[in-house]
Amino acid sequence: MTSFRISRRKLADFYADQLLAGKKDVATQLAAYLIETNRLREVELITRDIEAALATRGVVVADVATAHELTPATKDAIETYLKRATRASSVQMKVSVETDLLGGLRLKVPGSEMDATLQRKIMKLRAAKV
Amino acid sequence: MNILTQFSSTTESSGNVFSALGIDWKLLIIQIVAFLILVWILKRYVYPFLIKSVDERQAKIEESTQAADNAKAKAEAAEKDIEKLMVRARKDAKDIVATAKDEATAAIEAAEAKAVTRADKIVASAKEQIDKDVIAAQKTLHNQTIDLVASATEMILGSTVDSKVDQKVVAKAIEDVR
Repeated sequence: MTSFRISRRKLADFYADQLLAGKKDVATQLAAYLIETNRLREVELITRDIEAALATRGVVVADVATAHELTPATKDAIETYLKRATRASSVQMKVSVETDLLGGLRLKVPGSEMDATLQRKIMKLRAAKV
Repeated sequence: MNILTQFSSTTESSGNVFSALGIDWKLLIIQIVAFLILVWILKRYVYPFLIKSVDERQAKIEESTQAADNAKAKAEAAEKDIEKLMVRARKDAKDIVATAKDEATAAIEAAEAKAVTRADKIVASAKEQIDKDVIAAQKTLHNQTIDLVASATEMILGSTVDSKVDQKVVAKAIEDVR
Protein backbone atom coordinates (compact mmCIF):
# COMPACT_ATOMS: atom_id res chain seq x y z
CA MET A 1 0.00 0.00 0.00
CA THR A 2 1.47 3.29 -1.09
CA SER A 3 1.12 6.15 1.35
CA PHE A 4 1.58 9.85 0.77
CA ARG A 5 2.46 12.34 3.40
CA ILE A 6 -0.43 14.76 3.73
CA SER A 7 -0.15 18.00 5.68
CA ARG A 8 -1.85 18.25 9.07
CA ARG A 9 -4.11 21.04 7.93
CA LYS A 10 -5.37 19.01 4.96
CA LEU A 11 -5.85 15.98 7.17
CA ALA A 12 -7.75 18.04 9.70
CA ASP A 13 -10.00 19.60 7.05
CA PHE A 14 -10.67 16.20 5.51
CA TYR A 15 -11.53 14.46 8.72
CA ALA A 16 -13.60 17.39 9.96
CA ASP A 17 -15.69 17.17 6.83
CA GLN A 18 -15.97 13.39 7.26
CA LEU A 19 -17.15 13.76 10.84
CA LEU A 20 -19.70 16.38 9.89
CA ALA A 21 -20.92 14.07 7.12
CA GLY A 22 -21.72 11.54 9.81
CA LYS A 23 -19.19 8.89 8.90
CA LYS A 24 -18.49 6.73 11.90
CA ASP A 25 -15.29 4.94 10.96
CA VAL A 26 -13.35 8.14 10.58
CA ALA A 27 -11.39 7.65 13.77
CA THR A 28 -10.27 4.18 12.77
CA GLN A 29 -9.31 5.42 9.37
CA LEU A 30 -7.24 8.23 10.80
CA ALA A 31 -5.55 5.93 13.28
CA ALA A 32 -4.63 3.50 10.53
CA TYR A 33 -3.23 6.29 8.42
CA LEU A 34 -1.13 7.63 11.23
CA ILE A 35 0.25 4.23 12.07
CA GLU A 36 1.09 3.53 8.49
CA THR A 37 2.78 6.85 7.96
CA ASN A 38 4.54 6.59 11.30
CA ARG A 39 3.01 9.86 12.52
CA LEU A 40 1.61 8.72 15.83
CA ARG A 41 3.55 11.41 17.59
CA GLU A 42 1.33 13.97 15.86
CA VAL A 43 -1.92 12.58 17.24
CA GLU A 44 -2.36 15.43 19.73
CA LEU A 45 -1.59 18.09 17.14
CA ILE A 46 -3.82 16.56 14.51
CA THR A 47 -6.65 16.21 17.01
CA ARG A 48 -6.28 19.86 17.88
CA ASP A 49 -6.24 20.80 14.22
CA ILE A 50 -9.39 18.75 13.60
CA GLU A 51 -11.09 20.54 16.48
CA ALA A 52 -10.03 23.88 15.03
CA ALA A 53 -11.32 22.82 11.63
CA LEU A 54 -14.63 21.78 13.18
CA ALA A 55 -14.81 25.13 14.98
CA THR A 56 -14.54 26.97 11.66
CA ARG A 57 -17.43 24.85 10.50
CA GLY A 58 -19.61 25.79 13.47
CA VAL A 59 -18.90 22.76 15.64
CA VAL A 60 -16.94 23.43 18.80
CA VAL A 61 -15.32 20.65 20.76
CA ALA A 62 -14.80 21.78 24.33
CA ASP A 63 -12.82 20.12 27.10
CA VAL A 64 -14.65 20.69 30.35
CA ALA A 65 -12.92 19.77 33.58
CA THR A 66 -14.59 19.98 36.98
CA ALA A 67 -14.07 18.63 40.47
CA HIS A 68 -17.48 16.97 40.62
CA GLU A 69 -19.90 15.48 38.17
CA LEU A 70 -21.93 18.13 36.42
CA THR A 71 -25.71 18.14 36.63
CA PRO A 72 -27.65 18.25 33.33
CA ALA A 73 -28.71 21.82 34.13
CA THR A 74 -25.15 22.92 34.57
CA LYS A 75 -24.12 21.15 31.38
CA ASP A 76 -26.87 22.97 29.54
CA ALA A 77 -25.75 26.27 30.98
CA ILE A 78 -22.17 25.61 29.88
CA GLU A 79 -23.29 24.57 26.41
CA THR A 80 -25.40 27.67 26.06
CA TYR A 81 -22.53 29.81 27.14
CA LEU A 82 -20.13 28.12 24.70
CA LYS A 83 -22.52 28.48 21.79
CA ARG A 84 -22.92 32.15 22.47
CA ALA A 85 -19.20 32.77 23.12
CA THR A 86 -17.98 30.88 20.04
CA ARG A 87 -21.02 31.51 17.88
CA ALA A 88 -21.07 27.79 17.15
CA SER A 89 -24.10 25.93 15.93
CA SER A 90 -23.14 22.80 17.82
CA VAL A 91 -21.03 22.15 20.92
CA GLN A 92 -19.48 18.80 21.77
CA MET A 93 -18.30 18.66 25.40
CA LYS A 94 -15.65 16.26 26.65
CA VAL A 95 -16.30 16.33 30.38
CA SER A 96 -13.72 15.05 32.83
CA VAL A 97 -13.62 15.02 36.60
CA GLU A 98 -10.43 16.13 38.36
CA THR A 99 -10.80 16.30 42.12
CA ASP A 100 -7.61 18.37 42.40
CA LEU A 101 -9.51 21.29 40.91
CA LEU A 102 -11.47 21.54 44.22
CA GLY A 103 -14.35 23.37 42.53
CA GLY A 104 -15.33 25.52 39.56
CA LEU A 105 -14.54 24.55 35.98
CA ARG A 106 -11.89 24.74 33.31
CA LEU A 107 -12.97 25.17 29.68
CA LYS A 108 -10.75 24.57 26.70
CA VAL A 109 -11.91 25.34 23.21
CA PRO A 110 -9.75 25.66 20.13
CA GLY A 111 -7.82 28.89 20.48
CA SER A 112 -8.76 29.75 24.02
CA GLU A 113 -8.98 28.50 27.58
CA MET A 114 -10.87 29.62 30.64
CA ASP A 115 -9.76 28.48 34.08
CA ALA A 116 -12.30 29.32 36.76
CA THR A 117 -11.34 26.57 39.16
CA LEU A 118 -10.74 27.05 42.86
CA GLN A 119 -7.36 25.40 42.41
CA ARG A 120 -6.43 28.18 39.99
CA LYS A 121 -7.52 30.82 42.49
CA ILE A 122 -5.37 29.26 45.18
CA MET A 123 -2.47 29.11 42.75
CA LYS A 124 -2.93 32.82 42.03
CA LEU A 125 -2.95 33.44 45.76
CA ARG A 126 0.33 31.52 46.11
CA ALA A 127 1.76 33.42 43.16
CA ALA A 128 1.28 36.64 45.15
CA LYS A 129 4.27 35.68 47.27
CA VAL A 130 7.16 38.10 47.13
CA MET B 1 148.04 96.91 108.60
CA ASN B 2 150.22 99.82 108.07
CA ILE B 3 147.66 101.63 106.09
CA LEU B 4 145.10 101.27 108.83
CA THR B 5 147.34 102.46 111.44
CA GLN B 6 148.35 105.34 109.17
CA PHE B 7 144.68 106.43 108.75
CA SER B 8 144.21 106.11 112.43
CA SER B 9 147.02 108.21 113.21
CA THR B 10 145.90 110.84 110.65
CA THR B 11 142.49 111.00 112.12
CA GLU B 12 143.78 111.57 115.50
CA SER B 13 145.84 114.39 114.24
CA SER B 14 143.26 116.14 112.00
CA GLY B 15 140.09 116.24 114.03
CA ASN B 16 138.96 115.47 117.42
CA VAL B 17 135.26 115.42 116.87
CA PHE B 18 135.37 112.50 114.43
CA SER B 19 137.94 110.87 116.57
CA ALA B 20 135.79 111.29 119.56
CA LEU B 21 132.96 109.67 117.67
CA GLY B 22 135.21 106.88 116.58
CA ILE B 23 135.01 107.79 112.89
CA ASP B 24 137.97 107.39 110.76
CA TRP B 25 137.92 109.74 107.82
CA LYS B 26 139.99 107.72 105.63
CA LEU B 27 138.31 104.58 106.39
CA LEU B 28 135.03 106.32 105.86
CA ILE B 29 136.03 107.62 102.49
CA ILE B 30 137.33 104.26 101.52
CA GLN B 31 134.09 102.74 102.64
CA ILE B 32 132.10 105.35 100.76
CA VAL B 33 134.10 104.74 97.64
CA ALA B 34 133.76 101.06 98.10
CA PHE B 35 130.08 101.54 98.64
CA LEU B 36 129.75 103.67 95.50
CA ILE B 37 131.68 101.11 93.59
CA LEU B 38 129.39 98.49 94.98
CA VAL B 39 126.39 100.59 94.06
CA TRP B 40 127.73 101.13 90.60
CA ILE B 41 128.42 97.46 90.18
CA LEU B 42 124.99 96.59 91.45
CA LYS B 43 123.42 99.19 89.22
CA ARG B 44 125.46 98.11 86.28
CA TYR B 45 125.22 94.34 86.59
CA VAL B 46 122.70 93.34 89.22
CA TYR B 47 119.87 95.80 89.35
CA PRO B 48 119.00 95.58 85.64
CA PHE B 49 118.43 91.86 86.01
CA LEU B 50 116.57 92.29 89.24
CA ILE B 51 114.47 95.12 87.89
CA LYS B 52 113.87 93.24 84.70
CA SER B 53 112.87 90.20 86.68
CA VAL B 54 110.62 92.28 88.88
CA ASP B 55 109.17 94.02 85.85
CA GLU B 56 108.54 90.72 84.20
CA ARG B 57 106.95 89.38 87.30
CA GLN B 58 104.89 92.51 87.65
CA ALA B 59 103.92 92.24 84.00
CA LYS B 60 102.97 88.65 84.56
CA ILE B 61 100.99 89.59 87.62
CA GLU B 62 99.29 92.39 85.71
CA GLU B 63 98.72 90.03 82.84
CA SER B 64 97.28 87.48 85.19
CA THR B 65 95.15 90.12 86.81
CA GLN B 66 94.05 91.27 83.39
CA ALA B 67 93.37 87.71 82.40
CA ALA B 68 91.44 87.20 85.61
CA ASP B 69 89.47 90.38 84.92
CA ASN B 70 88.88 89.26 81.38
CA ALA B 71 87.85 85.83 82.59
CA LYS B 72 85.56 87.41 85.13
CA ALA B 73 84.10 89.66 82.45
CA LYS B 74 83.74 86.71 80.15
CA ALA B 75 82.15 84.71 82.92
CA GLU B 76 79.73 87.53 83.59
CA ALA B 77 79.01 87.84 79.87
CA ALA B 78 78.60 84.10 79.66
CA GLU B 79 76.31 84.19 82.64
CA LYS B 80 74.26 86.91 80.95
CA ASP B 81 74.25 84.88 77.75
CA ILE B 82 73.18 81.82 79.70
CA GLU B 83 70.45 83.85 81.32
CA LYS B 84 69.33 85.10 77.92
CA LEU B 85 69.50 81.59 76.57
CA MET B 86 67.53 80.34 79.53
CA VAL B 87 64.90 83.02 78.97
CA ARG B 88 64.75 82.17 75.30
CA ALA B 89 64.71 78.47 76.09
CA ARG B 90 61.87 78.96 78.54
CA LYS B 91 60.01 80.99 75.94
CA ASP B 92 60.68 78.36 73.29
CA ALA B 93 59.65 75.62 75.68
CA LYS B 94 56.48 77.53 76.48
CA ASP B 95 55.81 77.99 72.76
CA ILE B 96 56.49 74.32 72.11
CA VAL B 97 54.19 73.29 74.91
CA ALA B 98 51.51 75.67 73.63
CA THR B 99 51.93 74.36 70.08
CA ALA B 100 51.86 70.81 71.34
CA LYS B 101 48.70 71.57 73.30
CA ASP B 102 47.12 73.14 70.21
CA GLU B 103 48.15 70.18 68.07
CA ALA B 104 46.93 67.74 70.68
CA THR B 105 43.62 69.60 70.90
CA ALA B 106 43.32 69.60 67.12
CA ALA B 107 44.20 65.92 66.99
CA ILE B 108 41.64 65.12 69.68
CA GLU B 109 38.98 67.16 67.89
CA ALA B 110 39.82 65.44 64.60
CA ALA B 111 39.69 62.04 66.31
CA GLU B 112 36.36 62.96 67.90
CA ALA B 113 34.97 64.09 64.56
CA LYS B 114 36.23 60.91 62.94
CA ALA B 115 34.74 58.82 65.72
CA VAL B 116 31.42 60.63 65.40
CA THR B 117 31.43 60.11 61.64
CA ARG B 118 32.30 56.45 62.08
CA ALA B 119 29.66 56.05 64.74
CA ASP B 120 27.11 57.69 62.45
CA LYS B 121 28.12 55.36 59.67
CA ILE B 122 27.84 52.35 61.95
CA VAL B 123 24.44 53.50 63.17
CA ALA B 124 23.28 54.16 59.60
CA SER B 125 24.59 50.78 58.49
CA ALA B 126 22.95 49.06 61.43
CA LYS B 127 19.70 50.89 60.72
CA GLU B 128 19.89 49.91 57.08
CA GLN B 129 20.57 46.31 58.05
CA ILE B 130 17.69 46.39 60.50
CA ASP B 131 15.41 47.82 57.81
CA LYS B 132 16.52 45.09 55.44
CA ASP B 133 15.96 42.46 58.11
CA VAL B 134 12.51 43.91 58.87
CA ILE B 135 11.61 43.90 55.18
CA ALA B 136 12.91 40.35 54.83
CA ALA B 137 10.96 39.32 57.92
CA GLN B 138 7.85 41.01 56.56
CA LYS B 139 8.30 39.22 53.25
CA THR B 140 8.81 35.92 55.00
CA LEU B 141 5.76 36.52 57.17
CA HIS B 142 3.76 37.59 54.10
CA ASN B 143 4.77 34.47 52.18
CA GLN B 144 4.19 32.20 55.14
CA THR B 145 0.79 33.79 55.67
CA ILE B 146 -0.09 33.23 52.01
CA ASP B 147 1.09 29.64 52.22
CA LEU B 148 -0.89 29.13 55.39
CA VAL B 149 -4.01 30.76 53.99
CA ALA B 150 -3.70 28.82 50.72
CA SER B 151 -3.15 25.53 52.49
CA ALA B 152 -5.98 26.19 54.91
CA THR B 153 -8.27 27.28 52.08
CA GLU B 154 -7.31 24.19 50.12
CA MET B 155 -8.09 21.94 53.09
CA ILE B 156 -11.34 23.68 53.90
CA LEU B 157 -12.49 23.73 50.28
CA GLY B 158 -11.53 20.09 49.86
CA SER B 159 -13.79 19.11 52.72
CA THR B 160 -16.60 21.63 52.31
CA VAL B 161 -17.13 21.99 48.57
CA ASP B 162 -19.47 19.17 47.63
CA SER B 163 -21.24 18.64 44.36
CA LYS B 164 -24.06 20.98 45.26
CA VAL B 165 -21.77 23.82 46.17
CA ASP B 166 -19.63 23.12 43.14
CA GLN B 167 -22.62 23.50 40.82
CA LYS B 168 -23.17 26.93 42.28
CA VAL B 169 -19.52 27.78 41.81
CA VAL B 170 -19.61 26.67 38.19
CA ALA B 171 -22.80 28.59 37.58
CA LYS B 172 -21.28 31.67 39.14
CA ALA B 173 -18.15 31.31 36.99
CA ILE B 174 -20.23 31.10 33.82
CA GLU B 175 -22.31 34.01 34.97
CA ASP B 176 -19.18 36.06 35.58
CA VAL B 177 -17.75 35.49 32.11
CA ARG B 178 -20.95 36.32 30.31
